[in-house]
Amino acid sequence: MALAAFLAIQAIAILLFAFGIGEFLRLVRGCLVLRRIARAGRQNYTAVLLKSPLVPPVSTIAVPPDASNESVQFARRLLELHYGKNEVVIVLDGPSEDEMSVWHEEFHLCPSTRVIGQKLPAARVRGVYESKDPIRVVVIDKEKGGPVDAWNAAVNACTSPVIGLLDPAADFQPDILLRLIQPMLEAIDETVAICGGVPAPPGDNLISRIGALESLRAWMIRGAALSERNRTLPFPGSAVLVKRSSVIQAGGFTAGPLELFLRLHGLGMAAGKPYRILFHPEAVSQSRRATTRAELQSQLGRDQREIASAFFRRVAIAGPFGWKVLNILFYSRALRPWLETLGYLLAIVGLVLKWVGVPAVLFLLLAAVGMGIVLSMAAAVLREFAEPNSPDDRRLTALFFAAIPENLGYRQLRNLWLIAGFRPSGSLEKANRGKTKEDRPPAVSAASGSV
Amino acid sequence: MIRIELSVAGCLLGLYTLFLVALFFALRSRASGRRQRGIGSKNFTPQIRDALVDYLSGSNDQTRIREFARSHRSEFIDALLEFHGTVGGSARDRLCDLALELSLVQNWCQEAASKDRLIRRQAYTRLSFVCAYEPCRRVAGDLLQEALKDADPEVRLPAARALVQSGRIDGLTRVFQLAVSQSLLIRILLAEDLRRHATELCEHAVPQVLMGDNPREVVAALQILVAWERALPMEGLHKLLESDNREIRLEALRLAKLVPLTPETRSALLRFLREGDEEENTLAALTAGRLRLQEALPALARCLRTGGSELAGIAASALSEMPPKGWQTLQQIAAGEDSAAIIASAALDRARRKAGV
Repeated sequence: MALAAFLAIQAIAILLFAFGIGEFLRLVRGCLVLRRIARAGRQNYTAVLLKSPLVPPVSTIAVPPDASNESVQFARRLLELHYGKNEVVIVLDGPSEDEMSVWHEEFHLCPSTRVIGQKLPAARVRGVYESKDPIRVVVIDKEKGGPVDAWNAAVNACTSPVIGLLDPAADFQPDILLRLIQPMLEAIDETVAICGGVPAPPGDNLISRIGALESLRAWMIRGAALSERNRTLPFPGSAVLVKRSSVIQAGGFTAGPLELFLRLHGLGMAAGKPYRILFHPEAVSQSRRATTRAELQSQLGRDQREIASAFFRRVAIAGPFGWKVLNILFYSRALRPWLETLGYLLAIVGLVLKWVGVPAVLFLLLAAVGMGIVLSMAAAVLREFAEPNSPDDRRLTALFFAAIPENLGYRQLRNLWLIAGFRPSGSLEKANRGKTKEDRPPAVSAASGSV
Repeated sequence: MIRIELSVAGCLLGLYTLFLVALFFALRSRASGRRQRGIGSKNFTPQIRDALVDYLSGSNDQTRIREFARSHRSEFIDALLEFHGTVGGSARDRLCDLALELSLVQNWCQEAASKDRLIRRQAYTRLSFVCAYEPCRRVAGDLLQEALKDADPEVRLPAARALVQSGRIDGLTRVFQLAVSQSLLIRILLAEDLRRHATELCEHAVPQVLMGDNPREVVAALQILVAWERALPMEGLHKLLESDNREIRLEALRLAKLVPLTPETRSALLRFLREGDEEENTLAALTAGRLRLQEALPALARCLRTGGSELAGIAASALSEMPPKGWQTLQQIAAGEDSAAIIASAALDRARRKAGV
């Protein structure tokens, strides 16, 4: 038994070390991508794009869960975006009469004659409204079908070729659409989607710095590092523009933007034709700073649930390509927390029962905690290295030293949160009552066309 | 065994940490040094701007300007280029003349030959501003024409914009040909610059591309013409309306409202309203409304009754543009009880409100 515990701890430590080195290399790759983008420099043409009739219209979607002040404010923020042809589509998923009246009053709604197509299956639409004011807003009142169903109803209602998906929990700039559409226009035929944003800024307290480190690592790996191989995935706080035709071809939403991107990658790879999903590291959108432990846990949990949902349904979503795209996230967000936690438990039990010696435990701590500190420090340093023209020494110092306490206590707690969050989500029907069509892997569905 | 592994892991992590700590201190000292020295902070920009404004408003004292150009050259250039788009005519010429006097233009021409594409990009962007002034163009010489062949689109674009400033038809023709062969972004940017030369371009350059055998370029050329949003002296649109390529037909339909209406174009529009698909119907209805084609009334009424929501709405708007017959048609349709009646009634109300009836 003692030998088994000793060998298990040793194996876990070696695996953790290997994963750590892999993640370090990805951070370096992300840094090189960011540096290349920063050096290439991109001219800002937003003033011309704002006026040009050649710029494609964009429909930004909001699926508010209620008629609270936050939901209304989010819809208002979408309406205030600077863009020549921006239409805001608000889908209310089975709203009560009170909620409907709030939206009626807010936007001075009147019935619209617009007919909503059924390109994507969604619950029945009860009414379509537009504003009497000179604002481009369409409000869809539909039967309750879940958030995914509402997203698909929104896609049905959109009339623009490009759809904007902005995170209500993120801070975004008013010119976000103009700045995101510009890289798309450089190769509009091949570009399927673009994902832009920067990591959350560090605050004054330790929690917010730890949150900033979380956000930074996700940004550098999911955004920058993966974009090198055209496998960009949305990261927390990012904003997305995606072609409507691609969403429809992908069969619509099955969950959040992460699953949509996975599906788009699957279709693109299966079709074998050139396609691009871009990463745009500009300060157009960023997740809000977490100031309390509960906020940090909530942000992390939300992200982890999205990853878990995508991972457990990867074959249905992206066929054989699902694993190719998601394996990195699986190692860092599912396997590593399990291995670490198991290693700690074995080490404690082993030490108490004298099955293992101090060197073995030290080895495990080096692989888990030591490597964790190195990775967080690397993220902080490499990000500054990637931005030669706008280094920020205060941000660098704050994040660099936050890496030490992050791995002494928080990391172990985070492992438990990640383990708890990484489980299959409810059935598809629960999330999307209107969607009855069975998902086909892209390897099959791509046969009928390309992305 | 475990001690060896521990040592290896410790050494490896130690090396990583050493590397990161060294990088941390290097980056930190560089960043704080930059902050203390005020690099990138543009401390002198307001004063430079004031000096330039004084100069533009007629002052001939260049002492301060020359001092800034010597001591804070990069900041001075940025401030000078900020006037791009805000000054025109003689003020712009005066600014370009200043750039010439301070040897900035000559420097940019040298930088334009750099092998570093970032320096090249920057040089052409700066040249594109000053090349509105003839003496600066003379200094630039053939550089701009050559840059149109550069592999980097971010170099081709400012070079093309600089050529447009010259207003010479050979340069404009080359830029138009470049615009139709490049990405949508470059097309959008150049379309904006070429707009004021639309009439000259419609004489030769545009027909040349439209008669070419590259459908992508034909579509791109039509998109640019539509984006100009101005009346164009163009003939032979009906040939494009009869094209086998749907994209070309659709763009030609969008353009129809901007070119003189000929009998051939008129009959093509009516045919699209009768026989086209939904998108062609929609665009034809839009054009018929804009041109107030009375012959299109029956076809518009049919589109309103049988078309989808977008087509029906546009057909109703088109009918509302043509009183009294169009209004009568709307009244008849509004008397029904279907969705077309609601759309017709709404369009009629809008038209009456607009006309003050």
